[in-house]
Amino acid sequence: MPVSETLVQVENLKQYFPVRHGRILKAVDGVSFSIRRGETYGLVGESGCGKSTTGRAVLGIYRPTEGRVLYDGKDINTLSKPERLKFKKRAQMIFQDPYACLDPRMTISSIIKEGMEVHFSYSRQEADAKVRELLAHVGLTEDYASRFPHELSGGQRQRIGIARALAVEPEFIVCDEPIAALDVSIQAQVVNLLMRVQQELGHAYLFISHDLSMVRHISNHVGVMYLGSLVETAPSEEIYTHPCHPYTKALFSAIPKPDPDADWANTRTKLQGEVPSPINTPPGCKFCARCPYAMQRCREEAPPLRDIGNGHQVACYLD
Amino acid sequence: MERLLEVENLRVSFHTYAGDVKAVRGISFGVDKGETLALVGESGCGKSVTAKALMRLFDRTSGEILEGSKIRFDGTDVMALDKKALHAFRGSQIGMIFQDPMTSLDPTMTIGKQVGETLVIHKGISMRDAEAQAVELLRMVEIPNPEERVKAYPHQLSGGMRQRVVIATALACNPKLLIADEPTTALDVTIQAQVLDLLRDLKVRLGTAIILVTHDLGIVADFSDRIQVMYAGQIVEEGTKNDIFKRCLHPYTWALLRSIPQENATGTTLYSLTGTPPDLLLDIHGCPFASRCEYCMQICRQKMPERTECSGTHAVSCWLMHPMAPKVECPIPRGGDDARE
Repeated sequence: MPVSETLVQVENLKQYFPVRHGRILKAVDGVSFSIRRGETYGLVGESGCGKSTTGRAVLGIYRPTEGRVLYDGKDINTLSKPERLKFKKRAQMIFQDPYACLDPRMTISSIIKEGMEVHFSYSRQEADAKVRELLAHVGLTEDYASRFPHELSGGQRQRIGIARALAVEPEFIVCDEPIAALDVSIQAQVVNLLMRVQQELGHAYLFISHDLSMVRHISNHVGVMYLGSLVETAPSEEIYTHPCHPYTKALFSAIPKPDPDADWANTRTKLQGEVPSPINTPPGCKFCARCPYAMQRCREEAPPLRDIGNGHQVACYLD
Repeated sequence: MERLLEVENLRVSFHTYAGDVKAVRGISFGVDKGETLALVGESGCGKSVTAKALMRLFDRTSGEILEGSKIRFDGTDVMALDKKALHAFRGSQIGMIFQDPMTSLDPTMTIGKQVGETLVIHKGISMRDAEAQAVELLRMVEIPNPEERVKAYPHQLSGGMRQRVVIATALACNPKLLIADEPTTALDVTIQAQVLDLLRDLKVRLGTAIILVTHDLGIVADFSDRIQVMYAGQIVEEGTKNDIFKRCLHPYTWALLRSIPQENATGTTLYSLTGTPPDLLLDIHGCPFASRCEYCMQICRQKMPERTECSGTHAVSCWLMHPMAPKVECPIPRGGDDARE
């Protein structure tokens, strides 16, 4: 299996939701990117920018308003029923809140087995052995199998969430803010686990997070979203060392640095105002209301993503 | 500088069916006028409980500040205040900002009334006058169109704007100390930066001392003068910003700093602590960090280390500081130069 092969291809994805009074919320508005096998694509942005909606649409949880999601070359929304079941086995999800995503009335073992029962025909012994193997894989002992979620800490629960996703042997996992609810030292443990599992099993991640330094750490490619649009996408090191879009620059410099000499307050790019409502957005660049370099053209016509070399694409008229 | 707050041997316990959770275990510290002190640590380390204890925000049924705890604020013995005096003390002398601006504002009251309420209670002015002053307060926290916004309800405001309203309320009576408990955790990074700028600006303008409770070391490095690192209800290390970031001596502080992803080491395994913090229901003999510490010695499990002062500003509680202990190099590259003599 060549490494460069594209696994997930998102083409001009639009996800609109009707809201009251006939208005339309454009959660995702024309997003295109691709994820290669065995690689991690990091999706960053502030709350409400559409990164989670994108993650869900990629798994076919929503039917896109427009555009396509190709998984291994096939549009996931035109799959036949058996094909769709197969797709669900191949693509899994890890959720943000380790407290809400596990059924409190089920034991850890039955939580992990639930997916396996749909996709595989294991005997009871095989399934039990598999659960033990998965628990060991995520760094828990086998006596956790008979426990209930409330007996576990946040970090342990997130490991169960990971074990559950791995149970059906997927090749692609959407991680929707998997570390947001955890403490710093536990975050490091979970990120280490995700990276180790990827090295061993070679699956691809769509890693959705607002924690920019963690995204930098784990991702091969990074996409930055603002108000439903992808404003910039590039290989991880490239985007962090040479951010081009004014929003990306402001976003990256808004993270306080754990360095007492950084003089962050005076050196960073400041951004005025707040993210506008995604309902009935005006034409033109989504960022122009807060952009210090906005021109007349930006207000009239949305800039398309253009290639500037090194696999770096940016949606901005500025050079 | 003049001392504003002096805390001595503060102990707070919560009574639960399983026993007493000893959340804060005898900590002592002080805050000078106009100074910013940061309390950092992971969830459950007692940083928020410490902040709440300063205003005695517990009722007897849940949490209790134990006998022998001393809190002196600007000449007042806070522990000795009766109910009425305590009521007058809260809000006028110390203001507080909580993490979630949506739950700390009343959804049924307009912004103007909420900000004005503090003034009505503490200054005894009429609600009409208070609402007029609220406009000025909203202008001070840089809310656009304050004349319009006083009539708005919390749900009509964004998270960042709500937190500004909470700040305006906390500062309404010009308190000498502002306690900010994770003030920007619920906000996005660009909005967080704006709120931090506002707090920094107000701190300089009003000369308010701030106690900042946070788990974000980036904010701490940027915002605070002094830092106290807490673990399992105790202060394990304290010092100025440079003491903690460049010369830190406690293995737990090292662990906290090492678990931040480094820019030049992407894709590598992140440093992570093993194990979990100790059960706060139990008594801890020895150092609370001993079970997770990679430099743990026999004595660490038996006896709590003494607080060792390394300089006028820097103090650490660790047995590694003992003259008989083996010398350990600080594992953090940037802090290594002048870490240990």
